[in-house]
Amino acid sequence: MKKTFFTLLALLLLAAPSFAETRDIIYASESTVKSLDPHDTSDTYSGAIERAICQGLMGFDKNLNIVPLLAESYTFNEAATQFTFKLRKGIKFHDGADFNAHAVKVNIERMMTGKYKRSSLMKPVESLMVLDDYTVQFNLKEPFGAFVNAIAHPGSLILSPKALETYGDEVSKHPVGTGPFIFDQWVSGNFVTIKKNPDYWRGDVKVDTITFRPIPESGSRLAMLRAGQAHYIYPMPAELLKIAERDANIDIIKQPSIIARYLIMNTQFKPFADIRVRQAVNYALDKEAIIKIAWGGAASEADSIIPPNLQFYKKQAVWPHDLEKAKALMKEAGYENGFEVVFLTPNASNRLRATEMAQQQLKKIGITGSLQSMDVASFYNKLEGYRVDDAKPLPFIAFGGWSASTGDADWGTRPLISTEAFPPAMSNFGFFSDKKVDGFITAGLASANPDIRKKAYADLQDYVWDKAPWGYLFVDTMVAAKSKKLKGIYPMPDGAFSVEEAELVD
Amino acid sequence: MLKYFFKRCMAILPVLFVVSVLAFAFVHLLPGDPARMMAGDDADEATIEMLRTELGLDRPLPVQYLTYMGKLVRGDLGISLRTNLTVFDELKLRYLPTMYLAFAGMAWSVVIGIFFGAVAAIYSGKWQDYTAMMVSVSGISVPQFWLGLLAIQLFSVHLGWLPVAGYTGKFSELILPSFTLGATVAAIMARFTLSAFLDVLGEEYISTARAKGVTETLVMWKHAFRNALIPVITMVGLQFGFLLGGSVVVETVFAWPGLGRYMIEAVAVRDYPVLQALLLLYSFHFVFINLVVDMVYALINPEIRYE
Repeated sequence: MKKTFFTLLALLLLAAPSFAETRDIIYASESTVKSLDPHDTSDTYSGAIERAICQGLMGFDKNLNIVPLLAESYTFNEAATQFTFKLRKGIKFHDGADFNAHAVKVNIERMMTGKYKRSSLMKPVESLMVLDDYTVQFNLKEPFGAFVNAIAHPGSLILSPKALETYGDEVSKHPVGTGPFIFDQWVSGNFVTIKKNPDYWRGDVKVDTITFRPIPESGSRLAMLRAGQAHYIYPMPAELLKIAERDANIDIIKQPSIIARYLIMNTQFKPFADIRVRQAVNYALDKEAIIKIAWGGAASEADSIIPPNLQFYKKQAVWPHDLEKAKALMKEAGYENGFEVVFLTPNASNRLRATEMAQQQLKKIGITGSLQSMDVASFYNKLEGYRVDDAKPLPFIAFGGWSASTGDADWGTRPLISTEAFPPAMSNFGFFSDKKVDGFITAGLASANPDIRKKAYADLQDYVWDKAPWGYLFVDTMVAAKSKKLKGIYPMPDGAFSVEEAELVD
Repeated sequence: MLKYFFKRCMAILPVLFVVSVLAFAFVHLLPGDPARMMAGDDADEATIEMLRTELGLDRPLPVQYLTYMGKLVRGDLGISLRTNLTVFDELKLRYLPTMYLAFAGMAWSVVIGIFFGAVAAIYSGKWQDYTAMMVSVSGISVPQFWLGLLAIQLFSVHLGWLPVAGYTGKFSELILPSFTLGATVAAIMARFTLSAFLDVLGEEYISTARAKGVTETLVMWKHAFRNALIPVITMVGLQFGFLLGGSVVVETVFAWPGLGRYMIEAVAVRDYPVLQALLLLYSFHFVFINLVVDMVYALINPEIRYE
């Protein structure tokens, strides 16, 4: 038996790998990569990796501002129906193909076939015209002021026309773009590796490879970072923050996101049809406590219907926690003795906890009821099953969340509170409907002029804030952690990340 | 004998057929719309509808069932809704890692389990016995994810000897997850070995050996241990199925790219073809292991036949 033990020990020692410093970065994430075809990707994580390989005509900076990338500049007409982009010259794809108007046309027309998950981004487009080798013009079916955001969206990245021809839809396994990194290897469910593009048009790339590995268990993810086997982890689990903060080799990165959290109330029906009841809900919620306990402190109270990082956000006054006011409003609305609702929530532990807390807080003003938690798929199935003309569904309060992936006020409001967005069309699960709101939303899209749009969305935010279509909660703070040796890599407000300037230092 | 084997093999087919029907029904009865999950939170209805049509989810269930069975008979497991890769290729990528893990876990459990069981039996009633049994009871009671995280903390974070998680083909990556997986079964094996041992020690031939003056060491190793191993080996076969199925937790903690984790991911996004294929595969494993065990029994003792 002694011998067995020593053999095992010897094996252990032999197997111990050495973790020598190289310029290879390991990124450990909760998610797995689902596709590498940008036009057919719906998740943020895959989209972010695609952004390291491919680029769009426009892109986002750290703060989600739109900046020119493969396009040098753009112009638009007053009606917001025609957008012309001047392309940058002298850029080549990783496979040697030239980047030019033809490449753009091939990509956009592929998206316009309607066959891909991000085809909807190009839905407003009537036609795409090549004016010359480095100028393209989009003609839209109707005014769509947020079109440049659609162009900057990670779903509109430009793939090499040569790769599209060679691989067809198999391009999802062989993405070829113009970005700082070249696709190297993807083993489904295991890892994706990208390597440095030595001829990158924006300058020198400072690391050799980046490997993206899915580590679903949060404790293991942090352990990898602490053991030096990963350089960057996301998300950094809030419940383990204290341990990570004590580690001298680790930096914690916090970044406000564009993920809004709120309580959906079905506003078409009694009692939530009464604005006073909805306002009472907002007064009754103690958001600070929910953030602290359910969200590990990683959020900030909502101060508008859209998060601060979205374009055209306008700050409002946070709804104060005021039980007396809430009770008075309930009494005024004739619900002094309260009423019953069903609380619905996805069963992820933080969401469940947040909903439970809201349930307890609302009980104080007489809103009581049972809680149903279910997995995300069942949750959305349930919400989408409700129709506005259904007789009178039981009043419900559901824990909602939304990330407006285009970074624009339009996508943060229209799918959620416009009348056209009632399910099944989009995600207005509370059936909130207000003519003025619809008017502002239309006005926001009627022009591509930032000043005009800004005005429309400011009016919208001022107006809808008091109407309380939701029980406003908070905006997530994204928490990532990285090795102190790693520089130049940062999370983006939409939950993605940028690795273009990544660098390992001693 | 051959006739028996043949009959036994043929009996698998109706079982697998029933499983395939159940797998289809079960998976499609889950609430939640795969098209919605694939399209993402912020998709509009047009995108979801487009996906639904493309995936054939808009067709009546019986039609979907016939399509599914038609393909299945031809060995086509379909295409993963989530990644657009063929389910067969996806399973291929994950099958071997799970097998490695199960075999290595089995190795740990056999070595540790038999060692502790034998120690407990040989030193029956002494402190070694109590220690060995205490360790093995702990092995059953400690949750796998906790044991896994403890092992990571010790061997990876503090000592820096072993990789934390993931599998890229290195042997070192196999050690912690397989140990964690094997620990539960090791405990079961230890208790089983102990009782098998004690049974044998009560047999008359042991008393005879002792009466003849054979040394105690020889009695234990030559006479008792070997005979006690026979039921233990049977147990190994039975526990193997458990290891294959029980790897879900371990694969998650150690980010092991195997079938268990794949199952969890597929459930979360309602990846129908993957779920169906996995249910079939898991059922097949159990049926197959039972078949092998039955055959081994029949070989060892031709009087045992399950008709």
